[in-house]
Amino acid sequence: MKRRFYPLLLALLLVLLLIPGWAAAASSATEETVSLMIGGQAVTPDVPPLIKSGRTLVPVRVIAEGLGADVAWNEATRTAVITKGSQQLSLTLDSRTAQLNGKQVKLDTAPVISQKRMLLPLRFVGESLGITVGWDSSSRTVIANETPQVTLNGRAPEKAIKLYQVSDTMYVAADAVAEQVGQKGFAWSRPERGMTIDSQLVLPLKQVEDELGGSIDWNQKKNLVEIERLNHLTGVEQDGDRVHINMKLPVQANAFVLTGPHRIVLDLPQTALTDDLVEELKQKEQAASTGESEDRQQAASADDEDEQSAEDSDSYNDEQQAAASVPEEEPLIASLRYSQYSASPETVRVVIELNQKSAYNLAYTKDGIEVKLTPKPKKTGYLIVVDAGHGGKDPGTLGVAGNHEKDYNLAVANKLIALLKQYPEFQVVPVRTTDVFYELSERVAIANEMDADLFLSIHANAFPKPTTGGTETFYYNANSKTFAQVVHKYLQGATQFPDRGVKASGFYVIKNTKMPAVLTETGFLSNPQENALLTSSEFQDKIAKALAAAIREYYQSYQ
Amino acid sequence: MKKSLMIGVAAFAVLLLAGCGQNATPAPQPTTPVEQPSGNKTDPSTTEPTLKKQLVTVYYSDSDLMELQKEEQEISFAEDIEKYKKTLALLGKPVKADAHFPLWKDFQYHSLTFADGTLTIDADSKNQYNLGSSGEGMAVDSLKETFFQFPEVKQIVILEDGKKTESLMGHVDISQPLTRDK
Repeated sequence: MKRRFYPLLLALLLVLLLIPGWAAAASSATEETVSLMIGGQAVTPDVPPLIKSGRTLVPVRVIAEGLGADVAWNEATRTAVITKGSQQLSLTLDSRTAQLNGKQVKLDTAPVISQKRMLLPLRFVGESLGITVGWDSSSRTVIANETPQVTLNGRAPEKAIKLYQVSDTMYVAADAVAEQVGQKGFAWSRPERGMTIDSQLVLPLKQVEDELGGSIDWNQKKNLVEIERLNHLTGVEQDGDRVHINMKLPVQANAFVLTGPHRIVLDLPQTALTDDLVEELKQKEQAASTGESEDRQQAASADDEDEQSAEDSDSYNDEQQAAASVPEEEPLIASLRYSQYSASPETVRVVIELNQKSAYNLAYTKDGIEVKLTPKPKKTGYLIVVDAGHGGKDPGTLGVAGNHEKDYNLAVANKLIALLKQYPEFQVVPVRTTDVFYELSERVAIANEMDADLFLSIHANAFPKPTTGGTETFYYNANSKTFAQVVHKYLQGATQFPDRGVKASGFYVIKNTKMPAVLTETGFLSNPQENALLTSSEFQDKIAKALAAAIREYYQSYQ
Repeated sequence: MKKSLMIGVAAFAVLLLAGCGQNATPAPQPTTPVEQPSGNKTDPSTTEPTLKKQLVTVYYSDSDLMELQKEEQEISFAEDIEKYKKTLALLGKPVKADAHFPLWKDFQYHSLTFADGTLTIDADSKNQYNLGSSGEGMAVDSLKETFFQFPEVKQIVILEDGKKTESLMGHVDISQPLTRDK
């Protein structure tokens, strides 16, 4: 049964084989067929279009009739003068120099004579005359039509939006629309209903309207396309450590952080406040101007979010004083504000002012945006970041017993953390307490963002030669040298391995941290004697004690 | 057996031709001006490639991972890019194998390119180095010393599988190009 299937399959494959071969042969020939779609109508000129150096050349008549231009032919100079509205273009046979409104311009392809007809480069002529020209490579069709005027929420769009007419359907450069209504990278659900013109996805207006929301109207008489897709902010609500930004249509917020005080700012593109919110803001402003208000910070506009605003900084000083007099548990969110930040184009700004530095995460929901805040731990003491080098997918160096550096680093780090925690004046922050991977930049960020006082990275060395050994301590920035010397004194004292010294080297974690930072290479896992000691728990205790003693000495003597 | 072989051959041929088809149909792109390659700099000459010989200084570790040691070795090459590739290969092969330890032994890379003063090495992420920070520091130093002997090399960019990376072995910052200063 199955066997009879094979010849059939083989035949099918051979047929498949023939098609691309045939297509390739046909297209490598000079006469490739090209279709023309002009003003929505398929046009078949008496002399077929030519493709020359990647340009489509069409008979003069196509341009004259299809694009509504006047063409005058000067036999003596062999020049065609094409006029459309206020645009005038002169093209000379076999010449790559043309005149556009009296100025010289260069062509990629010169006009040619084919079957006694003058053929002109369609895109060049079209675009010179203000016509939209596009190439659909899948159907090998050149599409040309009058360029419609486009408005986006009543204004000219910031970036041009291309439109192509095929029969009675207008296609629009879909991603350009999505981007300019605040939906950059929009995932179209039915892209197959469109075409790819000049490498861009174009979709019928109706489909863009359906998928993005809002309305798109095409007034064929006025040659006008109006895109109305204005989002409205309906409210901003706090829910614990979350903030809900309620909107009528989805847009992507442009979010950023301002400091002093810590603020998370979200700009909502193509968005207006609802009338209710506008009214609310007005009332709050009035209340603020009449009575001295406590809810001034709650209310009012976020217009004053630029740093140069004097009024802005005044109000923050007031708040800071108020905060200082009440050192009780503060709420995470100090205030929520919103305003019509820009009227042209409409942009709403939402400001979340925080009492505590926080990371934030935006989730887009069907009702708008949910901002999840994760407060960063506050500094409560002399802050030491302990970094167990490598981890997870990065094992570090390999020991002679098949042991991994990441495990040694973690064991010593955890022992050190336990020792340091005995001192109430110390706040100890480990990078990792388990076998997980952190990027070097993440290790640095932990220390820098928490404004740590010390950074200690624990490592173990390796080298192909098994007799190589010793203890080595690295620093990079000048503010770290003393700490490195103290650490090395204790560490080498504990290991009694050969003293490789204190060296300056630009390792990532000690180069990019701002506080005194040191990287230790306790010994060589590639050295059998040293590895035997480094893998023993007692020896690791000794190392951890030495490192803790070094930190104590540095804290007491140099801080 | 035979039939499945035939099908395999046919399938292969389809793939092959499909590939050819793509090459053979230059999609006319009326949008952007067609870039006319203004004549390749290296004209395909029919003459025999003349091999240039050059002495290069290559750096290795001493036997204790304390200091860089240099060796002079001779390379021959036809084109400059081979000069860099052969030099990089030498970083893994000291002549005095007893006294000098290579820091780039068995180093695998996807590509090595040179343009506008920048030497770009795209390392394979599967490399196993087994060096600590001391060794990685010295490895990067040996690479810098070795390639900066060529006056035209102004900076070295190390990528991993085509992408920027923080570090090769988890210590030295290579997120920025390696430069001659420092």
